Amino acid sequence: MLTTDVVKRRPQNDDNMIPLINVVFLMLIFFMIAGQVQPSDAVPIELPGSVIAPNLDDSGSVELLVSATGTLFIDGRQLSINELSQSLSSKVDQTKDANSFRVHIKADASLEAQTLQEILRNIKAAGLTHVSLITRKQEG
Amino acid sequence: MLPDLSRVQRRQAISLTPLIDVVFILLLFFMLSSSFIKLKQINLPAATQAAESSDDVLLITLHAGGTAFSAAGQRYDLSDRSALTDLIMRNPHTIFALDVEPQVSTQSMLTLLDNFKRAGALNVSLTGVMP
Repeated sequence: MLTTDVVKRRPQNDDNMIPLINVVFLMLIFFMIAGQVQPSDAVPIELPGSVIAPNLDDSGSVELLVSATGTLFIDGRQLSINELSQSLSSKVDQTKDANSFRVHIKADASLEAQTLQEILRNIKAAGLTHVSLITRKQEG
Repeated sequence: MLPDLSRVQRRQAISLTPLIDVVFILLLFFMLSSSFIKLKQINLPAATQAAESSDDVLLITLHAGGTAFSAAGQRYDLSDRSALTDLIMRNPHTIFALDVEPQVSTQSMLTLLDNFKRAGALNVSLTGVMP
């Protein structure tokens, strides 16, 4: 008879862990696929919100961080506003396609807007015309 | 010659505990380092791009407090959507260059920029990138 051939499996201690492993695996897959692992910024920045804006396209760009106090960072290195034009010009020289070179500005929401305008004037002085402000999605 | 069946040992079941350890570490890593914030970008048309479409630039000044702005000598309230829409309809090909008074935050300036775009303005930029 068939029943005589079936070897009864001995229950193990790990058996009751299987539902836990299933859940943990599901959570792992969710965080791996849905989340994005990004390097942290040199200074904590609370991005301003905007309702109407296209999704970020960060190809061929340099990221300029501006803290709430107006401190500038490029590639994690702090620089003064006088060094900005020179630093951006050297970045343009390093890139292959200078025409599509874009400056992405990550400015803090509480930064005084006149400081941002001054930074924009310096970027324009460096001969760069493709400038974008990075924002976070805000529900209208 | 017959194999010595007495020497065949039963396979030991693999313990799941090390696997769970590794998976938990991976889970913690992804939970702590993942970011779910959707980033957006606001393109600021600069001098050369703006000159292609139109040479008409209207200066908009956002007042301190971020609730009112001035355009062509007239004061507008930010909550008055119809007045803003009317201003844009009267100047369909104009480039709106936003300027700010002192003590205005970047968030207030972007809120004004957002309002212009929502009201149908095609070219909105900041005076910092304009000629």
